[in-house]
Amino acid sequence: MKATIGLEIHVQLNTESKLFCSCTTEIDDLEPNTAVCPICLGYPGSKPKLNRKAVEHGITIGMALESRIKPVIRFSRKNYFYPDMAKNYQITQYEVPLAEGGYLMVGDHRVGITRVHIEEDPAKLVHVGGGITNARETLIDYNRAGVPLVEIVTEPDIESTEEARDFLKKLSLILEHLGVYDPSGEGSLRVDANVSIDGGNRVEVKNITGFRNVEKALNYEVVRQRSAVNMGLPIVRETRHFDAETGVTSTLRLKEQEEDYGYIAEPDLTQIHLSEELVGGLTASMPELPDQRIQRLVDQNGITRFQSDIIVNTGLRMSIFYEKCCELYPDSKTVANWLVTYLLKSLNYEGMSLEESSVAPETFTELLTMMDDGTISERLAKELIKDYVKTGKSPRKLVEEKNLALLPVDELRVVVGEVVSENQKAVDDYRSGKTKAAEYLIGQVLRRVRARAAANTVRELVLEALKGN
Amino acid sequence: MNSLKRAKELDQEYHFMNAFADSLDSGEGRLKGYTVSVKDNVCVKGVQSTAGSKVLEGYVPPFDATVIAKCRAEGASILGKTTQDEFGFGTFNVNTPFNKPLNPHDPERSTGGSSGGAACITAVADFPHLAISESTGGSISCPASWCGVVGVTPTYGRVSRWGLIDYANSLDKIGVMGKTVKEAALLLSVISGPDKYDSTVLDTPVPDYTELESVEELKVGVPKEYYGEGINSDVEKTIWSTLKKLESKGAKLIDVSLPHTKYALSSYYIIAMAEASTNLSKFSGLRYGLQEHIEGDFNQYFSKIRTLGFGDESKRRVMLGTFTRMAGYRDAYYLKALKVRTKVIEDFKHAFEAVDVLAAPTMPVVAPRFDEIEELEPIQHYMMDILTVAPNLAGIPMVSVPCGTSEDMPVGLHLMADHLQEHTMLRAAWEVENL
Amino acid sequence: MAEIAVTRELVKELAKAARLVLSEEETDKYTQQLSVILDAFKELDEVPTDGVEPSYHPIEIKDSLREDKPEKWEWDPLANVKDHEGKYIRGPSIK
Repeated sequence: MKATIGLEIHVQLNTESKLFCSCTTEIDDLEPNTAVCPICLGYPGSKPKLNRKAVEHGITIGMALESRIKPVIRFSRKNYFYPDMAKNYQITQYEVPLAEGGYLMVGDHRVGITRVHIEEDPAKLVHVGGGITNARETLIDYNRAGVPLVEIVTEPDIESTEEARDFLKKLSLILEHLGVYDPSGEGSLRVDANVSIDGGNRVEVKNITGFRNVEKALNYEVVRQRSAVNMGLPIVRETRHFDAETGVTSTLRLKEQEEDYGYIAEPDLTQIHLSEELVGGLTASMPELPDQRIQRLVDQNGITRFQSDIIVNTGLRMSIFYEKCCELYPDSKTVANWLVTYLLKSLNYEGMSLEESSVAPETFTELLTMMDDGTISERLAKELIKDYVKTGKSPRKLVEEKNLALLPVDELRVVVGEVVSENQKAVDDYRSGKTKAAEYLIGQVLRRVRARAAANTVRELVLEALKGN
Repeated sequence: MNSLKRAKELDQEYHFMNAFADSLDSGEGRLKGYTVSVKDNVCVKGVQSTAGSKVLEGYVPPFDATVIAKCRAEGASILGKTTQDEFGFGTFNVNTPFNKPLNPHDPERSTGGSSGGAACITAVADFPHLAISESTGGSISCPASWCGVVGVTPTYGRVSRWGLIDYANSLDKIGVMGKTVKEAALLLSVISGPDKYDSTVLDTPVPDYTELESVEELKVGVPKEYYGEGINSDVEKTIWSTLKKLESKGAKLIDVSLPHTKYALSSYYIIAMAEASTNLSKFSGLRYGLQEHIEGDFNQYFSKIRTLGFGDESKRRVMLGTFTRMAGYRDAYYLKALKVRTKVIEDFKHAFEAVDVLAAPTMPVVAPRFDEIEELEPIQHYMMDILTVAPNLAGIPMVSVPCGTSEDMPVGLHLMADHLQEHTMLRAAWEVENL
Repeated sequence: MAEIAVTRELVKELAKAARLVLSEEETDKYTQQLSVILDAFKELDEVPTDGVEPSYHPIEIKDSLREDKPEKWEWDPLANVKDHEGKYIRGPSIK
């Protein structure tokens, strides 16, 4: 059964002030209702004033999604009553959105973008004594009210939950590259998903935060719908809520009960002309997009597409990290190899993102330099990287602490001598033609010195000793 | 004389005030020595502002409207909040649970509305006084004409609306009233001009409107749709008599036509109610104003507050406004009205190519009696605005200046000018004043 | 303009949409009044408006935008709030 999915994505822009007032948007650590003013609190007599930067970000996003930017835009009042609405209408764009008719490629599949527009975020509700469907009462924090949102609406072109997840990851990466949004912000990306099976009734799942939850929610919903169809049960057109804790979608309200939003043009705002110069200027100064970066790293740094893909798709900070490392260490291919094969693996193992760890370009490249100057072996480096990621301590420090530096050859010779003299039988075996005995001796030496010697060096010295004796 | 004390005495008799300031501050500036009364929908920090509605009873704004800040900066004392029809919904100042002002010329008659309180105190104040008022469809002109004072409605956007409790955002204009044209012009000069808090304010420089002198060969347009049927013949006689006097002083009377005049009423009301019905959504018992014990779900709670707090006319307009923007009706009502508005504006623009000002009676009748008003249906209340809605819809400036009496009640002459031509129309009004 | 029959049902729908509770008498009264008023508005049908742009404002106003600079309002946002819990504003439930 084929799934048809359309997404409505709300992205919180990282402007410094709100969309229609000058209250700060740095609200994550604030006490409730402290980043508010008469405008975002909907006081009588207050009027909105549009944030220029939000419009510019909207245009940039529209351009990155290959859309047509409207030459003149207007705002609308979307009217509905809800405790999170300071004015009981939301200022959004109904008739004339910022951009239309774009697309985003997910692999080879083209997902159409119906529209991109700007609107204000409502307040945050805390449900007391229950969840969204049964709380006793609500506590309201208006700090978030008025934060600028860009809404991106896709055509119902997405055909699976995996594709939805990939779409969102790619979109998030693009937005991060554009510098218009902070992916680590609480609730900075929220999704409403419309799902149907085999052309059946469309179900909307509202307000899913973060793309991991989107994948979960969609998986549940698709399975739910498929099961219903298999059992001959009808799929009702409705709006559902996704509970991130239980992983279940449940009915919020039936579509028939939905209100008419009674849109009018927002009469407290002027229309805004988006001139070709403005749009051209923003396009020209648009930061490098992920696809462009992937290509550039392949061309400039000589790394493989596979590696470039991984580096860029891990996130903007990883790209920046990689390029900074290449500034500090001359061989960009080696950097890529060690980053992709070992560093990322260790980060994943520790369950840390790059940002969460204390890994830094200076210390990471130190590891590579230490291999070059013979302080440590490759084998040791691979071991060391795990501790490095876990503790963030510089590799040089770790080596000192754990006394892991490669033994100087003289010291190693002493150990070899000791092992040889302790293993006369093996020596005799070797002399009588059993070359395998040498391997045994090498193994013994390596065991004793652990990672403090390169296997090749040990081999050389053991053979030398055996020859000599 | 202690103006505050005197105002309170007068208020006992005429009921024009909803709230008085605790004391009068004063300072230096162009308004030094003046007390300024403020229509109750214009926010004054620290003084109750209700916009004539129970839903804001006890509400004390935490900020001044821009016009108030400007008045204070020029040394004015803020006297208090004048009564009005709830949110501006009315033509007789009877649509309010608070004070209903009495016409100073006949206490059994209405002052007019919605700025009834402002016109009333302007007429009776025997101390230096100016009134901050507001018009959406004629709420300055109507009471000014019925109380025999000067009422100026500036061009839409001439004065900042920051701090004005909205009726209809594309129609609301803060304006002024005074006993004389010069005084009204003074206050207008002070409150006009750009403001960073209002997106729809115009940044055109503000001239000194008090520079009043005759206009050489003033061309006065007489729009035929504003005379004849539907206008009280005695009122019209008074108007013509004034126009003839103007003519004898050198003005030229020119016949013009504003063909879409009759449609302005419907267009105005549809747009005004569509916008108003959304503006009033914020009054739902949270954050300020009327609040009750929170119980029930949010729809129940909101409904309780709004049913309790809104008067009859407010409920009517909110429902009508909701209708005009509903899916299925929106094109035929809301969008249609906006297009008709374009035609109304075109009429005026065309007329002003040939004339400096337009002249007409401000109101079709003199102030009606309260008992007559009680017999009227809502639609008849609306019809009272037929002469004022069109210029208000077009956002052009207008002034009502007293020009005589009929049945011993004041008659106002309405002079209208093109956008941002306040100085032209004020000079014409000054001339009328000096006839 | 479509022929609109202002019925009691329509008035009830409008009241609900506007979050107003009307008594039966009030519903009757408003049905009659709204009917008369909306009937009067029908006259706009007489005005030809094909190709006419709607006037959202009566005068042309320059684009109005604000620079992205945060500024703090010094005030107490809870001063007018009757029911608050700590710094949260209490609201009705959303069930």
